[in-house]
Amino acid sequence: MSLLQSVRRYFIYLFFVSTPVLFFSCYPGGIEYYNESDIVVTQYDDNFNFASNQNYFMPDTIHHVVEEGLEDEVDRSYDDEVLARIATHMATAGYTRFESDEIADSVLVDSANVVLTVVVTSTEYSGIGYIPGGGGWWGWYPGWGWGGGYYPGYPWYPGYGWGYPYTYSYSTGSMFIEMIDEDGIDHFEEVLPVTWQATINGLLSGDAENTQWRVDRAIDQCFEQSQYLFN
Amino acid sequence: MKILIALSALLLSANGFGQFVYTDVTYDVSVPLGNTSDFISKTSFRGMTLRVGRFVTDDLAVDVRFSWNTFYETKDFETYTSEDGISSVTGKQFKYINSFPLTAGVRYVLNSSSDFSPYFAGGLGAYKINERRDMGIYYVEDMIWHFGFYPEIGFIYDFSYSVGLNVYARYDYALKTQDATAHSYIAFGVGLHFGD
Repeated sequence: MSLLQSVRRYFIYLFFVSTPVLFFSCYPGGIEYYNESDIVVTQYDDNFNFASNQNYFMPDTIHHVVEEGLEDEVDRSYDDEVLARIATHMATAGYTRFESDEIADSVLVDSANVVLTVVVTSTEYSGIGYIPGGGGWWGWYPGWGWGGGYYPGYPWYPGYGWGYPYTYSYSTGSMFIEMIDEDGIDHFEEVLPVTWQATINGLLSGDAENTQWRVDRAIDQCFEQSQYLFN
Repeated sequence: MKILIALSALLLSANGFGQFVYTDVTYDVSVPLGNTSDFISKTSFRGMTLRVGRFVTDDLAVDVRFSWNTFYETKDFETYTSEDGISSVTGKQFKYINSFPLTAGVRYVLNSSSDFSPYFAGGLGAYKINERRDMGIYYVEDMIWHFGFYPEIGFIYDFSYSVGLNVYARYDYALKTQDATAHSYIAFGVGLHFGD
């Protein structure tokens, strides 16, 4: 084999090896900023009549789900803004909020048609079939006992078509807004009938400067894509 | 890929780098068609083809080919609703298709003894197509093997000793499977041809 042929052979080998490497280095990227990872998911019970159940109670506290032995990683500086913004949208949709400094919450709940709860996860969760910490906020409810945050009556992602209908993976700082039919609460079976639910994944994670903007955008989007609430 | 390397080694070792063996290394620009275009409409500027062939007559060659064509597109912050209207999801979508054809084919060369040699080619084989969409921390990915084929037209222009320019247009078609739709695109390639 001549020198020229040898050089040519190694040149070809070099091409074969270097071309895929060069190509791989140009592979397209994905998410670069926190706001590109925001997801808003909503769903509702289409058998529920929202128009005739427009009195609601919403606690003035966001429940942070913190695993035992861990500290709360999500700060509460956005809590008031979140609750206020939700209340504003509910008012726009025609709902009346029951709130009082003098009347016990349990009485207000009994009087309301629906209860709106807001839950934020302080830990990353993944698994199958339930929302982490579900019902944690209901600790005040007399005689209530929760079995590991399980929503027996939860309509989980029916017909979703995205490939993860029965699984979940929530980042730290994910927020859940849930509307519960007060009349349908089954104390014996411990079933909370969720009539509307919004999930905002990973909203409060990180310390991005635009978190407030992301919070506002996500909550607005929850209601924007839930026009059935505006009956 | 291992199969390609093995076949390539076999072809290369048959006659060394003698006049009957050629290799092509090309850069591909691919235009999506059909279902591929429905999923990602943007033209792909990330693609390559590696090919090793051997002439069995003066005009006719057989070869093996491996390509990698990546399609990519981002969508704005948009809302998608399930067919029953119950569930909606809003987010920014990132979509990818990675197509990896591994084919065997034939090439018929016109004017094979001249510096400028147009050719017609075609072949068939396996197409591994990975279709993926990301939204937030979620992703859905289908990695499906298809059976597919390609016709191709192009030319070789020898500008130096045993080195030439290879330009072609190739239509890659991966047939639908039980789990996936068909995919198709036209790849325009330019690169180097080694061999007489």
